[in-house]
This record gives sequence, C-alpha cells and structure tokens, in this order.
Amino acid sequence: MSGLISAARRGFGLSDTNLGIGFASFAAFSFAFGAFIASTIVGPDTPGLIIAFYEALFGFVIVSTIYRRDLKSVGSLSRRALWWIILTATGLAFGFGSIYSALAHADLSVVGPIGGVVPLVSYVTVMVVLRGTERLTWRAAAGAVLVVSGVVLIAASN
Amino acid sequence: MGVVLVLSLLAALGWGTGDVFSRKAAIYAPAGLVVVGMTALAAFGLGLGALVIHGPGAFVDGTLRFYALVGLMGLTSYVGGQLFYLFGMQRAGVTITAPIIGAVPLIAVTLAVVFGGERPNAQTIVGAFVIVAGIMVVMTDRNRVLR
Repeated sequence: MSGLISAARRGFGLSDTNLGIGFASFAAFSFAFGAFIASTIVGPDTPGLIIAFYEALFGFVIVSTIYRRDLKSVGSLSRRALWWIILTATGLAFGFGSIYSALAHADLSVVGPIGGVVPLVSYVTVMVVLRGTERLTWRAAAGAVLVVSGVVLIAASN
Repeated sequence: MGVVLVLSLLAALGWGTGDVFSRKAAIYAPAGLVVVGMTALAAFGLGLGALVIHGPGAFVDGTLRFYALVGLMGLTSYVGGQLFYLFGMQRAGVTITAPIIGAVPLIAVTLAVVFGGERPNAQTIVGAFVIVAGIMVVMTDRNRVLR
C-alpha cells in the first residue's frame, strides 16, 4: 500500500501536505457515501445493525487482505494494545450501529449533520484520555456552542 | 425525533471516542494490526448485538443487491474512510485533516438531496451549516494544541 502511495506521489509530483489533503478529502467523501448507501437500504426488513455488521465483515476481509503481513505479529500484541483496540472497536461498533439504526427513523439530511459532531467529541475525549496534548480555549468553547445550537435547530425543526 | 437524536449522538460518541482510542492503540501496536483488529472486533460486536436484538433470521434475508451494496460500504467506510483518513493524518497532520473530515455532514446532505431526492427544510439546512461552522471554529483553533 505504502509503495503504491509513494509511486503515485512521485508520478504526480505532490507534496506530503497536498497528498494528505487529498487523502482526507477522499476519506470525507467515502464516509458520506457509505452513509448515503446505508440510507437507501435501511428499513424494517433490513435493520441498521445488520447493515453495520455486514459492512464491518466485508471491511475486515478487505483490510486483513491489505495488511496480511502485519497479521503475523498478532501473537506479540501487548495486553495494553489489545485493551485500546477493544475500546476502539466498541466505539466504532456503537458509531456505525447507531447511525444506521437512526437512518431507519429519519432522513440522512437530518441524521448526518447531528452525527457530524464527532470532532467535538474527539476534542473532549483527547482532553481526558491524552492529557496535556490539548486544552480548552474560548474559541473552542464558542465553536462547541455553535455545534450544540445547530443540533438544537435541527431537532426543533423535525 | 427523540430516538433519532439519541442514536445520532450515540454514533458521534462512539466514533469520537473511537478516533482517540485508535490513536492510543497505534502507540502500542503497528497501525495495520490496529485497523485489522478493530474492524474484526467491531464486526464481532455488531454481529452479537444484531443476533440478540433481531435473531439469527435477520442475517440471511438479504438479496444479492443488498450484499453488493454492503460490500461497497465496507470498502468506502473502512478502506476509503478509515484508512485514507489515517494516511491523510500521517502526511498533513490532524490540524489540516480534521476540518476536512468535519465537512462530512455537508457532503452527506448534498448526496441525500442530489441523489436521494430528500428535501430538508430550511431550518435543517441552516442547522447543518451551523454545526459545520462550529466544528471548523474548534478544529482551526491552533491555540488549543499544546503538543
């Protein structure tokens, strides 16, 4: 994978930052596109949890194929690493399971923006889990107020 | 709306904390192993939850179209989304990539309106812009980063 990225970088003459922006933009579109597909198939016969399960199952097959070499070192995983991986997986499972279940009750144009408060949750979590890396500022607090106001606006109008 | 609000906020809580936990996991294990491990365990947890709530019958009801679409979702969410976000963060840094990811709600609303035929009311559109603006204000604040 990294060889492919290096070749693409050389081919297009891109800087690391521009390549990073390109990757992040592609990731943003991918996340939104995944949610859009889910919104078209979720319903009474296809619950959000089932969609999230199969999505993760197919995702697992694909990423384990990409990282098949890393799988050899699975036995050397420390207990601490395993603990953080379990917590990450729990978060992901709640994230995908909940958002697809929400899509069974409302449109993507309503669910998407409310679920978009993720960076704010990450910011608060960083201050708790990775202490000393970020702090609370007046600007961040103002941004948080804006986010909450947006959620209230959407909730009130639906 | 109450159920939708709770589920959407629960999703944000899951993804938001998971994002930070994965950074912590990557300190103690190779990134590839973290991605494979979290995807496998997420699938296991979701499968277990679905089994308890919906029963075994719900797993075999899908059509070929359903499996093709969830396969595409696996590609977009776990490879196009999670992996490429990781690659982006490694190259451009979290201060540049986080605001880009913050625009996901606007992209989702655009897709829903253009391709899904949804017609959100004006207040919902304004709310979406206010949320994204708030995320941009938080994410572009470099003073909050200590190290």
